[in-house]
Amino acid sequence: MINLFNERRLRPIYDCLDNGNSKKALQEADKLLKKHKDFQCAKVLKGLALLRLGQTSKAWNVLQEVQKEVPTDDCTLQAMAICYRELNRSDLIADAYENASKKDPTNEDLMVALFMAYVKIGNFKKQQQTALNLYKLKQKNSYYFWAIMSVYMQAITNPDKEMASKMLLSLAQKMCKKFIDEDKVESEAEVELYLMILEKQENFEEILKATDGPLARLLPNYLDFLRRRKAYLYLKTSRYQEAFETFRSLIDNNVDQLEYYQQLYEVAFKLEQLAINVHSSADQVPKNEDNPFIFKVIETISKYLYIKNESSSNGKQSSKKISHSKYRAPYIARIELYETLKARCENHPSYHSLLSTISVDSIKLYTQFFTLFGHKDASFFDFSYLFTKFNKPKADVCSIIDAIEVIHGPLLDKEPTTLNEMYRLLCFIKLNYFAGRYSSMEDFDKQKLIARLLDLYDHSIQFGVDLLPSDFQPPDPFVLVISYLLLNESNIKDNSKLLNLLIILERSLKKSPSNYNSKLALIKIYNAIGACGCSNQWFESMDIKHLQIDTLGYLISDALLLCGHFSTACKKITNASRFYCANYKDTFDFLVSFYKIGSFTKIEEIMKLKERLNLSINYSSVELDKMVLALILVTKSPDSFAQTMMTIDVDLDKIENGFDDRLDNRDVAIFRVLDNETSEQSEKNREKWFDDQLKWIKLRHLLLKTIVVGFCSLAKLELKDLNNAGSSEMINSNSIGAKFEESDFPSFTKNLEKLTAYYETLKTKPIYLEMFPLQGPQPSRINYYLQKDYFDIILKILNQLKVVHESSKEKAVSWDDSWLNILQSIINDISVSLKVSNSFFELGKVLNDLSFIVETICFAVILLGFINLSVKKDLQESKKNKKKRNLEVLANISGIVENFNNALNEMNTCLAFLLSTLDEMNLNHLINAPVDYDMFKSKGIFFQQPDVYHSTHKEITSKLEQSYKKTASQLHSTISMKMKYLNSLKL
Amino acid sequence: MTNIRPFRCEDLFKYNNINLDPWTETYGLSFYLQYIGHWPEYFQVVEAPNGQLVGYIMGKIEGTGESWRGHVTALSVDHVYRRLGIAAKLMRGLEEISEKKEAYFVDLFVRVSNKVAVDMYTRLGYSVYRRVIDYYIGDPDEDAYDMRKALSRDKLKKSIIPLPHPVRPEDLD
Repeated sequence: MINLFNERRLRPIYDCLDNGNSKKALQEADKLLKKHKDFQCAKVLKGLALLRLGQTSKAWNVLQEVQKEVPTDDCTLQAMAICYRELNRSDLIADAYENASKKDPTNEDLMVALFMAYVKIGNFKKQQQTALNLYKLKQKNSYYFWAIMSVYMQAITNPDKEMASKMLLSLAQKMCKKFIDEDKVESEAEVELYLMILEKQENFEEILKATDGPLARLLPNYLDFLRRRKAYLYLKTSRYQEAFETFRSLIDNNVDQLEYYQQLYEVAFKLEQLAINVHSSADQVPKNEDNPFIFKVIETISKYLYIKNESSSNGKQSSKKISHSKYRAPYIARIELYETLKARCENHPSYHSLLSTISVDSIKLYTQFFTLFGHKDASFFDFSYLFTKFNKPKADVCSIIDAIEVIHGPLLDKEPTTLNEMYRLLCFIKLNYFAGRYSSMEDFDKQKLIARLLDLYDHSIQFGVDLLPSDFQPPDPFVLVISYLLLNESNIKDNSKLLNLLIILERSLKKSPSNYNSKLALIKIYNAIGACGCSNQWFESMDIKHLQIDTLGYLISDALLLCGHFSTACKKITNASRFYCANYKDTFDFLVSFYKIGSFTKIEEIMKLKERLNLSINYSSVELDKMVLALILVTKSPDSFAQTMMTIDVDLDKIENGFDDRLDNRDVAIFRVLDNETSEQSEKNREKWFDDQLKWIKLRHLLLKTIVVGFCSLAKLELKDLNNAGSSEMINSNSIGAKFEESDFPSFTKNLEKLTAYYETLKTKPIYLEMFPLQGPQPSRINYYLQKDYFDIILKILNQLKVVHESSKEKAVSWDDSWLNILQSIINDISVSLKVSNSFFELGKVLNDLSFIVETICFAVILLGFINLSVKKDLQESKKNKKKRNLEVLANISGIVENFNNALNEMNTCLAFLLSTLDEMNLNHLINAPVDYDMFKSKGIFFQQPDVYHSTHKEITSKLEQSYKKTASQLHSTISMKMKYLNSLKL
Repeated sequence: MTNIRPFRCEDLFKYNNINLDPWTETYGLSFYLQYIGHWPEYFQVVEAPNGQLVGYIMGKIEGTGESWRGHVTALSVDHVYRRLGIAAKLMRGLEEISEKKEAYFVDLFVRVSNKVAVDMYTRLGYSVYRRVIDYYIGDPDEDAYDMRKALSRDKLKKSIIPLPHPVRPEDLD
């Protein structure tokens, strides 16, 4: 163990490291090592300082030296663990502790640290051995159960489910049983682990026994969750009678838990089925009164439909008054039971009388639900849930809506006088939307409806007085419905309607600045018209962070890249990349702490969480985009390109692993969808996006890998150039540059072949551009990309590089310039489209094309740099050798040089034209176009005040202009930068 | 209707409709994991019939001696699912657990401007124990009320006797 004396000496080094002053830390460590050259911890801290200074190989040497000495003191080992962690070599932490533990086998702390080191690398087998050794050393329950948990982890991660997992689970179970029999089990965590094992073995009987036996004393029943668990165990063990009684009693304690009612009636059906089977075997026909269990369910539900108020407001005892229950669950359960019985009554005639016990018809049940709960904002979602669950035809939904109107009068025609009335009206409107009554309307009627909804919004603003900034305006859902009515292709393409919609949404946010529904709608609309400066403003206002980067980042990330806001995209992507890397490490720390506190039930969950983040398709996209953006924004010259390659921290091999296991973690349900058609189309778009995005990632990955391998194989020939870019010590162990030694030109050729073949398969891929419903996922970028031949430009240059590099130059080298024609033709197309686009939507599409062509130019310039590197090498070699044969070679090289320089000149002309196109981009005709603000003629209390209307309109067009100009200026500066790069390549 | 169940790690992928509320803090993953690991019984989530998450409560038990208490770290309900008594139900659940763990009281912090929440907690039997200056960091910073409700173990309700002066965050125990 380290003594206080040593700790005092090390303190200055620790302080410097903590303060981020690695240089000073290194000096302090050297100073100390001069006096005490064998001071292990000082050596490791020196290594850490070196590591943080980017001198990886020196740090590595220092660490290896100490590792050989097999340190056993805690401080040295902990410092080594930090170093290895920063080097992403957690396996070596385990090695260090393993050696130390061998040297000092009775040291409990060392062994605990060794166990945790195995946890971090997921070596469950060694975890098990270490935990058992620990238990031998000190008979603590925790060590024994660590061993059991380690066996359990081996079982659930074993690919051979049949053999190994059965054996391993049975071992884990026996280990637990031994402790139970010896009455050594002490804590809830230990019992839970035992139950977990039994659960995996599907040994539900044994779990029931355990939860009924002496172990139950250790299992608390918070919020009835233990009984809930038991109820499900009864189901799994087919003890339906017990399950029935348990769910019934669970309802008594939690009247509003719909789940209990659902289970209750399902169990009742099972019990009666069993009874029928018994009857059938005895050849008896069931009679109508043979439904005692279902009847009991009806009774249970009825019991909670009404509640008895026993005291009056003045606190005195008053007569018992029966009123409707405030809980929705019994009412929903009643409808569910009714619908289920109705669906099954064809085969069960006895259900008819049960149905009549519940209600005369289902319409009455729904209208009663509306009367009782229609004034709750959530009630519409209860209706839509029920309609969906029971596949209600639209006509039936319409009948329900009509019946509601018979009871409540023509709701849409009168202004609500209370908040409850307003919510009831909103529920009614949403039901109509769900039934498809609005989607089938003619344009004129739809406009009238929208005008009416606007008036209702204006009128209902009065219910939202004294609101806090975090509150939503109660009438906001009117705006949501309006936006959904307007969010279709033809309206988005019609500038006047589009601007009206933007004005409605933007104005509503002024009154309700926290309403994320309006923000989401705006984000999607601005994205659709290529104005991601505007969408990003709303995205930023939602303060999306941490795990939301994975689930909601999709709302903006693609759009920023598609409309050329590269710098903003880069910030977002860097941030996202940091999130994924940090979480990967954090989850390991939590695994360790969960073992320490015995939170065994959560270990598997954390492992899954870690895996889910690791396999997130967004993670791969982020990493690849990070690299592409570095190539776009940072590489100004061949040197800066080399430097980027050496330092960028993107692990292409990791991305390549498990392509097909990728997961889509996006939260699409964040959009409150009001009808099933929208959600079905949205789901279809989501699936398409996922398939396409995988293809996109594969294509990008193959391209980047080909570039990296090409660079590495060429750069190896020019190590001097590389040294200019940075010394080998600076190479981050994960960086692309670290792998340059492994690449040669044949492997570049192989990658290029793979890339070409893959691109060929994509050419037959149908382009999927369905962007509606806008309140859902958009098509993957690949669909926009494949619309033009951007990739052919890149492939042709890559092939030219191959030809030039592989040729012995003894014959004239063929030169293919056709990529220049493609480039020119795309740029011409874009230039024309930019001039003729007469809607914001069309402009947005042109901006997408512009961003892709600029990205393509960036790749092209880098690849031309490769050709430059290859030819330069040939030139140098041929100049050294003046033999006659080489004169021919020299002439052929000169031919390449001439072709190459000509191509650069032509490309330069193309880029200059592109710059002038951007300079001439004129948006006045769009920005200043008049807008028909009488379109949704309403009474005009709030929205249609002309001054408010005009100021909002102006605000929006000015935002749009700014965003478009930012796109133009970002693309302009990128092209200018690449032109300089291009000019530096001339031979 | 409110289906209430223990919070699971995977719920973090679908709680956005609750957390986009500006006063509901989205914490780093490690913060949630700490609660999931240490006090899983104090972390409940509420599901709508269609399976969407609509609210959650995250809390813990801490303190020593007479300050052994249940603490509400986060409580939030989706806007659409408000006015249904979900928050009250989650609070009652947390109190019930704290009773079983023999805590003396339950406490929580709330923005002084969050009138709706303060009123709700008051209705549920909570009272302001003290004001904490600039507890919420932001633009501008905002004070918090430290509100408490005595549980049955605190027979004399000593835990909720209000402090006469506000305190600073660094003085919190």
